[in-house]
Amino acid sequence: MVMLQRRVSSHRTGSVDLWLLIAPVLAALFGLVMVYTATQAVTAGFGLSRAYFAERQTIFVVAGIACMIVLSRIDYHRLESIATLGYVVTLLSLLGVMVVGNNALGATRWISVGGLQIQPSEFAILGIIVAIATYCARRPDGLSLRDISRVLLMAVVPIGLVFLQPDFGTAIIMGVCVFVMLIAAGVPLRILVALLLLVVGAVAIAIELRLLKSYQLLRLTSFLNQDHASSSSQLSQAVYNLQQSKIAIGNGGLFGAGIGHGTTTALGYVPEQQTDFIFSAIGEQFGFVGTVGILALLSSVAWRVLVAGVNARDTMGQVLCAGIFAFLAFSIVQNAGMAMGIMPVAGIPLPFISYGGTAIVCTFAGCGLAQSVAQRRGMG
Amino acid sequence: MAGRRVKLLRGCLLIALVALVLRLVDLQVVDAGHYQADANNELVQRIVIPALRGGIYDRNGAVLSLSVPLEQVLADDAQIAPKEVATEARALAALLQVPEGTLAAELSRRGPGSGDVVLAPSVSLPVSQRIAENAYPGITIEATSQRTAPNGSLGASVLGFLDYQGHGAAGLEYQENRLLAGRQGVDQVLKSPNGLALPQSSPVELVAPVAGRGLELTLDTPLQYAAERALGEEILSSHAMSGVAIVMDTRTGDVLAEANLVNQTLGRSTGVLSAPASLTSSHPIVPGVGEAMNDLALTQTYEPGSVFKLVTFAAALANGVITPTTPFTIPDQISFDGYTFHDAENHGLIRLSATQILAQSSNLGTFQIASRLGESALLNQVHALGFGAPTGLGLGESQGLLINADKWEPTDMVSLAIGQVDAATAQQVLDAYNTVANGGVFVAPRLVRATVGANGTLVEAPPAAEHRVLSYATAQQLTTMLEQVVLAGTGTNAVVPGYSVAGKTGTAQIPNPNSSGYLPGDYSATFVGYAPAQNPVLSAIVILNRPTPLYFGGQVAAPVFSTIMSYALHRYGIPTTAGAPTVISQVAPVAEDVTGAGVVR
Repeated sequence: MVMLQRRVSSHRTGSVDLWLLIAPVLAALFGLVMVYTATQAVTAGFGLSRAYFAERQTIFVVAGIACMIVLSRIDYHRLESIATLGYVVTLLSLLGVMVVGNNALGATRWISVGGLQIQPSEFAILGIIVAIATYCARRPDGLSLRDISRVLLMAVVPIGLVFLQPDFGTAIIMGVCVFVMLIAAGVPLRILVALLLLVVGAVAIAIELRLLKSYQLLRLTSFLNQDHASSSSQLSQAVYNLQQSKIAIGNGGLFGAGIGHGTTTALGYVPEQQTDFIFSAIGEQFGFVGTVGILALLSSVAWRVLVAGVNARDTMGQVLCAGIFAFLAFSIVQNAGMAMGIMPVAGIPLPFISYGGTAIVCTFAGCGLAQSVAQRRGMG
Repeated sequence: MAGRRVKLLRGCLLIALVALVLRLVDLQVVDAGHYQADANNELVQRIVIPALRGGIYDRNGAVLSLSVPLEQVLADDAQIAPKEVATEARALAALLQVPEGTLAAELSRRGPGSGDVVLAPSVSLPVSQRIAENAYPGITIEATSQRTAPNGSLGASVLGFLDYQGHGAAGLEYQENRLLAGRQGVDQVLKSPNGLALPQSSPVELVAPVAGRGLELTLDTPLQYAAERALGEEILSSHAMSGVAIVMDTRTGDVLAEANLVNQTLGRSTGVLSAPASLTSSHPIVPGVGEAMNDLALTQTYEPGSVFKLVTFAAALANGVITPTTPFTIPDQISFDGYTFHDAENHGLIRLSATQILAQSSNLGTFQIASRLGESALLNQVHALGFGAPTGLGLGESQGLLINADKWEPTDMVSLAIGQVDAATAQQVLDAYNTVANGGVFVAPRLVRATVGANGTLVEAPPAAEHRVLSYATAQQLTTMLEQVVLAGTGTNAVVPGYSVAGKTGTAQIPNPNSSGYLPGDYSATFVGYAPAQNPVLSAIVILNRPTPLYFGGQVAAPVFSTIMSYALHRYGIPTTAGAPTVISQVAPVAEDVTGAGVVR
């Protein structure tokens, strides 16, 4: 496959993609309301201020927007110079999590830096995207088989570390991003198919060798057994979460109960509702109209990122945007699908909306990078 | 990027989005109703609101048993964080007047037994309001009630008692439970995911509780007290195992007093259960005598003995076989069907009128009368006087056990005639005598004269059913004859000064429950009668179960009858009887008969 040969331009020749700028902010503002409404029971239960989560999320969103604006103004080609450093830091931080990480919900995903809880696996997604994009940019004539092997090796190490945390959801996202970037980088179809088969085989072997922890398997497959009561508390917990989420979404009906009037949301019936299951809060309070609307809004962001990539005149921009597109699009589909019981239960935040600082900053940062690409597309 | 690859990525996203939207259509449009119902079911908690139980009152409206509304303070320890225990205990200690340490321990319970710990079973309204206002985590206030009996154990065997859940478990409390209990209400509140009702969610009343109706009984508290005291004292002095006394309004069938008492001072088992001490008063009317668990007057059957001779005489008079003055020659003993019968005392050959046979309770004389009467006439009279049929009072009553024509044996002509075959309850025996007192009209006994609404409105119970059993003339003849029992027969201890009394004694051996024959030395002693004899107002029966060493009905039961009847006649202001009734017979009173004692079976 031949990548389109374009002259590399480092000048700002394109215009600002306004929608790519506005839509994430709109989604994040909506997300603030959702985080507020979904944390009323939790805050009451812990005796916290009712706006505790919403206030913190506001700070994250502000930081995220700032990050987006700064990155959008920086020429993405300058990332080339720090890509290697970024990749190394990513690996080190993932290793750091394993050594000094904080344990939460049975997984070690966070490290504390000056009072801030940082989830390096989220940054690792961006790190790997930038690293692979940079690698591809240095081979404008396309990737040889040897190059592809190197790219895969680059990807496997951080993915493996994330997998070991264990953070299966993020590992999957990273894998999807790498795969989509390889598509964008023009890797031949047969190799892509072979890769897919390889992954399927690897998963089968992992299951066979019991490399996957049993709870991971149970959670991942629980959406297939929603109607079966299980003796496993892990599975029944996952099934319970799913059922509560579906009830909340279904309870919203066509037009929803209205802001603050979602009863199961207000009473905290859906576990982890401000993070992984925030889609159920939207479903209950805004109904079908709201869920379709928010899916459209979020998808439009992913769409604009893809468009920026298509319009990019160099491999770096194309592959970078393809990675960010995959990151956003897969997160949206996986998160919403999980909340509705048609995707595995794997904790992936809904971009711009789920509560969580690292994820918010990372998704905004992704949009900033895509904006940078959009603004610097070649004149042809 | 190659156009095809872009299309592939766009296509993937679009397909995924379409799948998500289809799923949303499924969840939020097609199946929304089902999920909304699920959500509702999860959220809604139904809380039972207890209905206040109806009270039980005597015929004058005096309280016998009443439910007092209370508010109790409960704690669900699972809702109380360990660090809050100390603060909460301190705040509640002052309000509940419970030591802080005790409360802290109650609030710190974990695991089984930690849900709904009762901190205070009853608090006043101001206290409960203050607790509710402060909304302490995990503390709830629940409306409840407590059954109280101002008169202690008085009449407890009739009133019955409640089980720990507040449902009637015995007596009228059990029998009329549906009426007394009312109907529970249901409130709906929102609950949190861990199943706790949210204190801030205002309850929606789905079903309003309906307070139970009260019962106004026919009992008269002062007379009930007098009856229980007189009977209780006699139980102690005669060392009886248990005793029954009933006073009834002759015309209406209203049971004015009904005592069922158990001697608790005997070392041996009495075979009669006392009501649980915790459920009755700790201050019995007669110390050492307790309320029976069951209404003995209705549930305990016995062979009534000589009091049953009323049946024989009533049938004989009604069938014209005898008149009160018909003379009989009574031998010392009679051989019949291979058995030899004699009276309680050897008396040689004597001549007695029918009246004298009754007054002196001659078994052989009664047998002669029964022989003239015949089997079927005797059996019919048994049924006509109400034996073998429930009185309608319920309370687990026995209908008794009668012999019928199929099982008739020749010696039953003796045994049945003198009350030694059929088993009856005290109430049935009293009903038969009351029929005579009432001029031959049987009137069903009743215990409940009205029901009382929560607002105090009375609904009168229908008057007792009645039907004629004996002609007025026959009843009059029997009354005249029964007067002689008290004047010159076996029942002289039943005399009530100033009033003429008609009645009959009975002293019967007690059948061995484990084999044929009788328990040696065990008797039941009865006196049943009415007053004033010629214009009866009250009928009464007194039975003592296994008194010793004195055991004749005339010795132990008749004095109790006299005490109770004397009190009752004066209480109701019944005019004294003018002119002393004359003793018909000049024959000296003989020793009382004992049914069974003289019969060789």
